[in-house]
Amino acid sequence: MSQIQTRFAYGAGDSENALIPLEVFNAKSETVYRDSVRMGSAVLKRDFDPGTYLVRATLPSGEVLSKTVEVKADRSVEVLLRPRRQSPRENLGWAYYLQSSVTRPLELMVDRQLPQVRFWQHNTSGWTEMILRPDSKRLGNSTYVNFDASLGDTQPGVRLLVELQSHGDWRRWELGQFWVQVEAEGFSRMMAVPPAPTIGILVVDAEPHPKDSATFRIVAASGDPTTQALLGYLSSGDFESARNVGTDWYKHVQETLKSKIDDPGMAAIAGYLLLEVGDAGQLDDWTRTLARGTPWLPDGPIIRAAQLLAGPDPEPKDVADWMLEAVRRGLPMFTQGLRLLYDGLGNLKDYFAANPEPEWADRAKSVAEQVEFLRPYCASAIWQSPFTCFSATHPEDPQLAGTSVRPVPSIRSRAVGSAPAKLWEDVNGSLNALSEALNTFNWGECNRICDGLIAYVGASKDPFPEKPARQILNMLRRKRRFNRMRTVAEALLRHGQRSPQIRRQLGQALIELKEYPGAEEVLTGILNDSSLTSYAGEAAEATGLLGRVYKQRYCEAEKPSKEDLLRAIKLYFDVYHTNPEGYLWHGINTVALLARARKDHVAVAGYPSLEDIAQSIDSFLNRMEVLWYWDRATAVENAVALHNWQGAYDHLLYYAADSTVDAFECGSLLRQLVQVWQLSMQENPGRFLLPTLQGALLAREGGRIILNQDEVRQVSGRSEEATRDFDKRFGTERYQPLRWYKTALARCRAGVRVKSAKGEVLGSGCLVRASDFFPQRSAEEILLLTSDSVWQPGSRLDRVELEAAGEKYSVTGEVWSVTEVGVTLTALGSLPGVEICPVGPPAAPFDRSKLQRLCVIDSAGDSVQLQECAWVDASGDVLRYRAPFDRPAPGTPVFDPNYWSLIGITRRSSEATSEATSIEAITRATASAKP
Amino acid sequence: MSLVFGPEIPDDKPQTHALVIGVGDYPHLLGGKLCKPSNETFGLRRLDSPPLSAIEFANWLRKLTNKRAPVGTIDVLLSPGEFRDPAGGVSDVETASMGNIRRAFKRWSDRAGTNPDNIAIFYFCGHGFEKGVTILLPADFADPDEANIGINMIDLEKSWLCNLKECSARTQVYLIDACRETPVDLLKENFSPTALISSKKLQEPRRNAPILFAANSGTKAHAAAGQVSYFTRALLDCFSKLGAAGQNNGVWEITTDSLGAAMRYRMAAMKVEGLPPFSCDVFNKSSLGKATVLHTMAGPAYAVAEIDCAPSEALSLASFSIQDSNGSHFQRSPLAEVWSVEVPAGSYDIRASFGGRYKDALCSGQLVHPPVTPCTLDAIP
Repeated sequence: MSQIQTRFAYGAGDSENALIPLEVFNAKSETVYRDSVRMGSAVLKRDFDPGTYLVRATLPSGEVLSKTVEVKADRSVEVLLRPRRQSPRENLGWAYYLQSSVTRPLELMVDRQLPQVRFWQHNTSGWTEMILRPDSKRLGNSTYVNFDASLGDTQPGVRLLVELQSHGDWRRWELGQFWVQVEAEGFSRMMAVPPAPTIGILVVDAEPHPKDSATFRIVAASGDPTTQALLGYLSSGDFESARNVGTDWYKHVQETLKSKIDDPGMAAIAGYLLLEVGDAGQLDDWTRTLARGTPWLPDGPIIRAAQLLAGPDPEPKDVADWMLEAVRRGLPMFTQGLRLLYDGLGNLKDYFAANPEPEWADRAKSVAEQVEFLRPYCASAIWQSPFTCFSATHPEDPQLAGTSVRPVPSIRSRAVGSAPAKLWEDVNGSLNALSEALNTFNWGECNRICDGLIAYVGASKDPFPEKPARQILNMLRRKRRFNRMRTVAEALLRHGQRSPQIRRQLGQALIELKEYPGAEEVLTGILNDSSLTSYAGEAAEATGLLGRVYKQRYCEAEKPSKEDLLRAIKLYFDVYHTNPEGYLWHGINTVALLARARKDHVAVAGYPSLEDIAQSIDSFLNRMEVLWYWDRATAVENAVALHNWQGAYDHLLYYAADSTVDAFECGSLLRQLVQVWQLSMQENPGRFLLPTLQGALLAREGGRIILNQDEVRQVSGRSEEATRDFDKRFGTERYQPLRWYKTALARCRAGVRVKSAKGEVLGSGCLVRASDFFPQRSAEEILLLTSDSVWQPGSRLDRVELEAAGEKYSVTGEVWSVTEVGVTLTALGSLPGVEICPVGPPAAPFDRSKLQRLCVIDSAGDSVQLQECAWVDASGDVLRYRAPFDRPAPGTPVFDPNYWSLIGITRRSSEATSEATSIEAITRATASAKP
Repeated sequence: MSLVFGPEIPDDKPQTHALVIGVGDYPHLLGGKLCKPSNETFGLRRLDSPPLSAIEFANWLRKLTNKRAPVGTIDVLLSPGEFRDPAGGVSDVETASMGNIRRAFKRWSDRAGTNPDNIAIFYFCGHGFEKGVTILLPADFADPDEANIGINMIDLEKSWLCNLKECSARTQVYLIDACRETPVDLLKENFSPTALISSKKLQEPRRNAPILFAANSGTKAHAAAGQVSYFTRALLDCFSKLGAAGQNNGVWEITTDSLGAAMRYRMAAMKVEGLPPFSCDVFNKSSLGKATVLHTMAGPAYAVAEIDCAPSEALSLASFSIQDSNGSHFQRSPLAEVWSVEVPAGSYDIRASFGGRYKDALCSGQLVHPPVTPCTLDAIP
């Protein structure tokens, strides 16, 4: 008997490991062998009778390779499979053999441009441009980028090769979805690239198309060769090959997927494969793990939803929740996902329209909204691309594929110039204006709009409509404007809008303002309202808030009254036990307070044990298809109750990664963990949970953290220790707000408090490396950078006190006042071991069309205050921002929140805005100064 | 009814049911037989090719052979509504207006849904474009009496998805011979195209339901004036010659998968001077776990032998010949491009001579299998 061995004619690097379908036909054209084999070489798994055979393989590029061979008795024969076009480099095998990327050069194009490439990340805070560090060609912490435009010299049609190599654990930098943007000849395209240790991106000429089509295409390689090959077959519609390869491949990966999903990209392709060409019945519960376990990947929920849709009697609620969860995460990484998502949402929309049920009304509305949201992305999608690709100059502004770029419309073009009360004649316009004022921390404008509302409702004959009233109060609550919330709610109630929700919102505002008697009165009033029968849910909410009044009293009192505790437990439990699955937050508060009672030795009788309630809650949570962020918050506390630290941290990561969680909610969970559970930084699980939650809070719009210098040291140390311990326990591959926060704390340690010799606080400043400003000075030398409004040369410097990270420093070195940009730099000599504020990578340039954020660290007070701010303007050397709470002191350093790189030094702050000198301007000025 | 073929096979036997639509005359577009001209034509004009293409395809469908699902019905809608059968007989069929197409689609869906093993084939040739979804235009598109322009636009994806849910036929093939560009003027319009069928169901059952498009997203489909379109021509080639997956008990079978593969190859290989390269975009759904046989060929399958040399510089000197065991013989003079020659699937001797510059080359007993088999001859100096 004889064997056939195949060998690929050219070196193809890793791509040789890709599985490709191979068929053998006999002289009668009958298929005698069909299997998937490694592209590089393979021995076919059967013996062949002597005779003539045609050996044929189909590459994912679409190219068919074949060879006729004569098999003789008891002899092996080798078949050389030779593609028509050879890859110029082995490591580009993916582009030439695994994708249909390199076709023919664009002969019509006269002036081919070298493409401009930008990188983007989509995560909890939306779209962020990733800035390439010019000195190191580094993206993020450990990913190196190499651009190679030389390929085009020898390979017609190839314009640019971009290679990304991640050192260390590549999963560390996948803090969300990674996108590449390519611009040339007036066209701009965005393409998703799932993270992998090595990624190749090739920009090639597009096939000549009508003149209004883009002149280039982007192709990318990410993931192991077989998944790339499968994606190639799926996206080209070669389902026969996909099925041939995928059936074998899935058998191999199935067990891996069931145990642990290490490579979410591979898992997503397995999901799409089975949904599209395989047996969707083979998709078992690992899709749920994928959907839940990879919160940055929108494709996971899409696959889960499609699996439910393909099964018998899909539950509309579950399908809708997964689909909506997918959109909430962002755009799918794979084109298959975009199609399934759009069609699936359309399917749901029609289903809800045809089967109207009151309980689905909210979902139906959301589904319809998301169809509209996705429509322009689908209209601009490049459907032939395996990875999601669309035409856009900015990821939030998809444009029709094939059209050239156009300016991004300003989203801040809405002017609010009307008289305050008159403004509210246009309710929607006013809501938008209020939203913008709140998002940019424009409290003056916010107050003006709210005053207008109060005047408007006072002058109206009819009560203000309930829906916008609720929206307004929600918006104010999310930005923690509790005083305003209170005055607006009171005005609404005074003038006839007395719905239970408005009253409850007033109760909540009063609790936040610690006006407990007032809150109690309002909430009791709701519960005593006989007309509340149609608002059963509202009664439960009001009861819960009343429970919170007593909980807060107990936790905040110097001498707590056990009556308050018992009353709080009763209020929460009374609601919980009427419908345990429906009132989980009442249940978890019962658990927390029972735990507190146990700790404080307060006897509590007549309730199940806290462990029993926690176990019930755990089983309810496990049964849920989708855990929303409020369920995650419950799950964090519940895991703490059950001493399941890993579970608590896992749920907290999801919570922190959820962009819909706002600063108010982060703050509430933090307060609960500290005040009720009494977790501390010193011991588990507080040493993981608290810094992570603080980091999540700071990352939210309007987030603020206040720490004294001791806490900075302690938290910083704890955070570092916790990070190390976390890595040891849980691995390094997951989303890590803890690491981001650790960097923030390092910057806090480089913050400087500047005081006069008499102890008067002059302002703030920060430690920087001298060589960042004066290239000829030593990299060891440290400078203090502050505003010249804090001090200038000529002051009695030796009598000024500097404090950084609790250490005092004396000024003995040189001082430079760079008057043209209003800063002072002071040499402090070599200070081994101190933290400094790096000046790179630079932040993305200010763009008026976006709501860009920045962070400040003000060290001037007794405490260090970190605030997340809105960047509202930039002109010349000055950038302007608004802080959500206290006005930063002069000299306060301003940071890009992505990398915590220093981007400015605050000059002055007014009621409305703060003004900072940009670091770019300072380095430009110091470059020409004589140090 | 516009049934042009209906041999009345009992309903309990699996059958193939086809709905064929060709829209050439658009009364409200430029060049149309104007009943009421539209002010907004979006630059679209009357077309010559679609009725011809649809008639050609419908007439070929009569020859479709499939023991597992023989042809049950062929329903044809045209604009203009004149059908010519293979014998030259002329008959009126329903005009391909939106209302008629909707009703015909429902009838076709109902017929095909009578047995899960039925095969449903939908063919459309006419104007189309794309705006997030593929939109096909019936004859009464841009009717100025219709205020909502989307009423007379067909939402292909939604029609497809709803029919997968409503029609029990597990195999449904959609052949779309239409452009997929997005005219900029049309973008300014806010509209929702209309599905040909609606569904109250949520479950998406398993189906083999490929959609074969005549153009990639954002590009045009083409036809020569007064001729069958390039896509339909390729489709007929694949059904009658090139589309076989392989032999089963001595019979060549064309399946849902092999038709797509052959169409992708055939369209990409077509070259027409002055026109950009063609492509067939295959949007596939194939969740039955294996391909469905659509047609079995009465005679031999054909395949394209792509004959090349290594090094490729030798091509311009190569005289090629290909010969089967019966002595059938084709040859080509030197030309600086690969020789693609269509031959019955089988065994061939392929020769190249290079005018003395390289040694003559022979590839003996080369097996050629559909749709394409490359063969590279080594040119040795």
